[in-house]
Amino acid sequence: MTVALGHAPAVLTQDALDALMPMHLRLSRDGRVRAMGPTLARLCGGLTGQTLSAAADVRRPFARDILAATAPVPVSLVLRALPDCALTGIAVPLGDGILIDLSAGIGTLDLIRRHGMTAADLAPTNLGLDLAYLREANDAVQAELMRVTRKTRAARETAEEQAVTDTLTGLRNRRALDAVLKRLVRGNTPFALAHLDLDWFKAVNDTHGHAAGDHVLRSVARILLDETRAGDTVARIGGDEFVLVFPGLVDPEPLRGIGGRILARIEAPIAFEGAACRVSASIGIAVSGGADPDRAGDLLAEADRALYASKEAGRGRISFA
Amino acid sequence: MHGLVNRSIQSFLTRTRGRSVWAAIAETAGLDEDGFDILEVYDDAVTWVMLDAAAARLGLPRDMLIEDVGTFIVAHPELGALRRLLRYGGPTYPDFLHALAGLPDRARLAVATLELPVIDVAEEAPSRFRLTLTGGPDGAGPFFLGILRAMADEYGVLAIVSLDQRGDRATLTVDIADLDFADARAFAMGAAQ
Repeated sequence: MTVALGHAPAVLTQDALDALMPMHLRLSRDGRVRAMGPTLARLCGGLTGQTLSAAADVRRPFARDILAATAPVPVSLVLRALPDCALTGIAVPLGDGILIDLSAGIGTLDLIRRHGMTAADLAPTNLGLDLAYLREANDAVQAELMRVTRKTRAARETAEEQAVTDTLTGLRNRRALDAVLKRLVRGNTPFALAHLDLDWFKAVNDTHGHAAGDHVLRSVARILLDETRAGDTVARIGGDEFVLVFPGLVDPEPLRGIGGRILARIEAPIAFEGAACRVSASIGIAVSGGADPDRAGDLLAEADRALYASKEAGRGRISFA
Repeated sequence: MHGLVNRSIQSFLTRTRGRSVWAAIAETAGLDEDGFDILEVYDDAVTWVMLDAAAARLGLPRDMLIEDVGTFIVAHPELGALRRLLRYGGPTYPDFLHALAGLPDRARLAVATLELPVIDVAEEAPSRFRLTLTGGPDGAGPFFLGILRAMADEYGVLAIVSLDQRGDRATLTVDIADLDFADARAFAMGAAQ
């Protein structure tokens, strides 16, 4: 066949068409498929001899307008042998028939993945290969992104776990308390440590429910913060167990005063949704010797023993180690 | 240097020499043992401190180490991604070499912050290619030397690759002795994982 290229007519053989446009269809003016590109042939088998309307669901324009074309017209169609792949392209009059060059566009990725299309099936000028490359590169980057995200999440969870705050009351937690004690012992700072345990707390939980119990814990936390100095540490180290650390304060009298005020306020009824929750507290206080830093580490145990002395003595009181 | 490059070096050291060797090198270089994130861009000095620490620890010249990293990221069986992406260069080794000219643009499509040298590819004679790398990070020469050697194996090609480094210009000469020396490794587009 002859194509006008500039002023000089050029001949395109079927081989040349196959190489340039491996997804082309050639139709006679009466609408029959005369020839097809090798890729299209491989993907949908032979269509030669079929009419365009039988071989394809033509979406744009009407099949008869393709066959009557005297100038290039955009085409979109779906071949019945390749039903899930929309093809677009252009139809031009060529010789005594029509040539339609087709492309799957982004659907090329699907042809590669599900229909085994290879690089050899694509015209070298077709960007389908680059699309496939890009998708694979993006997948690889995304997999790595997900790995980084997972790692970040794990790190955040660890950080949260290692955080120093008791989430229920906003007080320091056990980890923070240990750090404070370590620092005081290392710095040879004299300090007092009070171990406080609520009395009758289980009864509040049992009678009024856990929400009431949580409310009591938060109220007690408020009291402890109110009655201590800015530089003191108030920690919740267990369900209803609190530890107070008083740096630089080892004199029993002011400690007893602070303890007394705390007990008085804790023993006042705590209102929760119409109910009055009544708890008390027992306190054990230990004071660092200052002389032996190793001993200070055992202070928590000493305060604990003093706390039990308070409980034994009838609760709601303060004992010194 | 891009985190992708640093991570490759870390991965090379960890997988080929063991975790404890990496840990020791990281400590010498003042790096966190967790190493690098591939989406970060790091100061170049970090890379060179790490490479110097690794070269000293392994008793290898630094360039040889960099070349090994290049080979590793293509050829290591557990790292398929880069090998596959490079295979998109074409069905034959000469196709692949020609396609390297477009590699920096392709790489930027996937990772916008990745800086690669400008790669000029010339087919000087049948079976003889000359690649000129300019404007890339230091070490690009030996790095690509490793990649080109590994990709020759990938395509089943017997090739002699040599590097001539002058300042920031690296010239890689590829002499293809036998295009069908061995079977190429299998590759199909869109078949990753």
